[in-house]
Amino acid sequence: MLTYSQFSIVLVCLVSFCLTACSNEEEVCSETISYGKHASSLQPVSKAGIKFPVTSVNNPYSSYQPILHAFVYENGCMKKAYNGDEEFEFLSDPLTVKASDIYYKNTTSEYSEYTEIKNIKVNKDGFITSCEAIYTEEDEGEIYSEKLSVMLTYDDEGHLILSKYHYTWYDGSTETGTTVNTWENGNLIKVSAKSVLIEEGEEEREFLYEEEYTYDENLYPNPGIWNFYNEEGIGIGDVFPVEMCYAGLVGKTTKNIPLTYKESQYFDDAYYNYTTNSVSYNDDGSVQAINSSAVYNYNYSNSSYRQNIRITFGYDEQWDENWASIRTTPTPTKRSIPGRFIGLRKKLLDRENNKIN
Amino acid sequence: MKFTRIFVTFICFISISLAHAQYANDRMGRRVRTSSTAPWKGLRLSYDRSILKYSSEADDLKQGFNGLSAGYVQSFGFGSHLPLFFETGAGLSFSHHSFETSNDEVKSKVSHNLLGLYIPANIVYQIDITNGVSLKPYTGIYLRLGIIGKEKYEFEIGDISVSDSYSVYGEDGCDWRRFQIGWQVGATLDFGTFNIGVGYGLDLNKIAPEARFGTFSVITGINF
Repeated sequence: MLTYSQFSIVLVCLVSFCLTACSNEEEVCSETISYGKHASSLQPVSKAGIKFPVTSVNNPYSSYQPILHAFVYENGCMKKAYNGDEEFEFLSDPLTVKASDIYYKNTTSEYSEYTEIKNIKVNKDGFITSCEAIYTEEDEGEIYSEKLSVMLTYDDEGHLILSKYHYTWYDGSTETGTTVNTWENGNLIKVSAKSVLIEEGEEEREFLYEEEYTYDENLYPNPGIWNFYNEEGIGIGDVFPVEMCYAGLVGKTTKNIPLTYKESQYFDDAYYNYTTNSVSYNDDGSVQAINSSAVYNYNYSNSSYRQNIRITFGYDEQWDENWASIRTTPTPTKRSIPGRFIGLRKKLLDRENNKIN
Repeated sequence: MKFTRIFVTFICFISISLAHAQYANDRMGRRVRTSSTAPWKGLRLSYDRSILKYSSEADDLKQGFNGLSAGYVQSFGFGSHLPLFFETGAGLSFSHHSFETSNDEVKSKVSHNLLGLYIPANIVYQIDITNGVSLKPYTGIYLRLGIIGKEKYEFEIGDISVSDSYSVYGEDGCDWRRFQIGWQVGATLDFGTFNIGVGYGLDLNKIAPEARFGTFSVITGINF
């Protein structure tokens, strides 16, 4: 039988082992600061300056996907959204956004992808200040997971002026990015983005990107739309889908619809420029259509491609929440490379794909 | 954190190894217990280093708080022949956290200030080392009630400055909970009426969504 001394020594050894055999827990600080108030639910989109809740954003020139975005509201708050591939659900208690692939969700396929935006914190105006997103892709038993943390800051007028993100891909690659938005008289005039991409086995790469807008304060008032030239919203970088903008979560949009959009610095490869030719309005002041011209410049081939674009907006559609009436049925394709991608890496890959096409 | 755990282990080593000192030989050469069994009361002041650890999927974030606590303690003995005591009391604890980043034209700072009521409930074992010097290892629980909690952010982007502050507690704030219960362990070394010590406490419930506190303390005090 152990004496008291022997028992004590054994006890101390056990305690020592338990307390010191731990992983290194150096204090970790993140570039994306988590701050803001608890968000229990969405606020009405009118609080974000959206006078006419948009129910559809359309591109009549696209036979593949004429309806770019569709939205459903309840009591003035966004309830669901659809972008041709994914359905977004806005849930309460606490505020959470869930996006899932529509096509595979309704089949017996062993493939699925879904995103959950959670731990959403907001400022006093109800705009997101920080959140996390987990993207998960399951393919025949294999699971690919990506993680995003985001921090946003707004000026006193409710305009997004700073966004920071940290993204981790399934393969361990990471991207950290900072985007600064410059506003003047209620209009976004410049977006400056910088990101650092660290891929496994590769050297750290830095990307710089800028876009500039011009306006006429007396022309083309904007009652609350975010898409001017394509399916992407302006000024939110590549971190959030535009559905979050129409939900009133990322601040207020521009006071006017821009006259020009110009990419002034990119990957020395492709530059996209747009010019607004005309904007038509409905009788109540909501935007009916934006007609613009696009010039896509490709430095690698010293060539450019021009296209006329017409974006139209609907306000009265009552969508069935299965999206059956507008769901496109192309041949579904899984992502060739797992992962949702965000940030400037996404933009780089998109431009690479466009180059190939 | 690793240093904290090693330090607490060292204290445990001291506690157990010095347990022998509570025995002395009587005139017959037999080992007899010589510990004092008189309870005490006094004031305590401590420096607290707290780590708020978030266990979220996307970001394994830890925030460090520095703080001070001041309070009163009172002990009650379990018997005249047993150097075992129940110690309780009450005090106020204040802690502060600040995180700043600065690069290019962007400066950001988020800070937290917390003031709370702290109530310990410990079992203390007294080990007399020499006349007037004793070692008191303890373990027990604590209750903490948040009185005031503020989060403040300040950003400078170019020429634009934005800031705001708000309560961390409740659904109208950051949805932090005011009431925590935790487990703690530590030891103090008494020199007459003065004492110094170290301790570690871990919240058993979360204060914020997916986050809870662990606190390392350096304690000093006076008994009367």
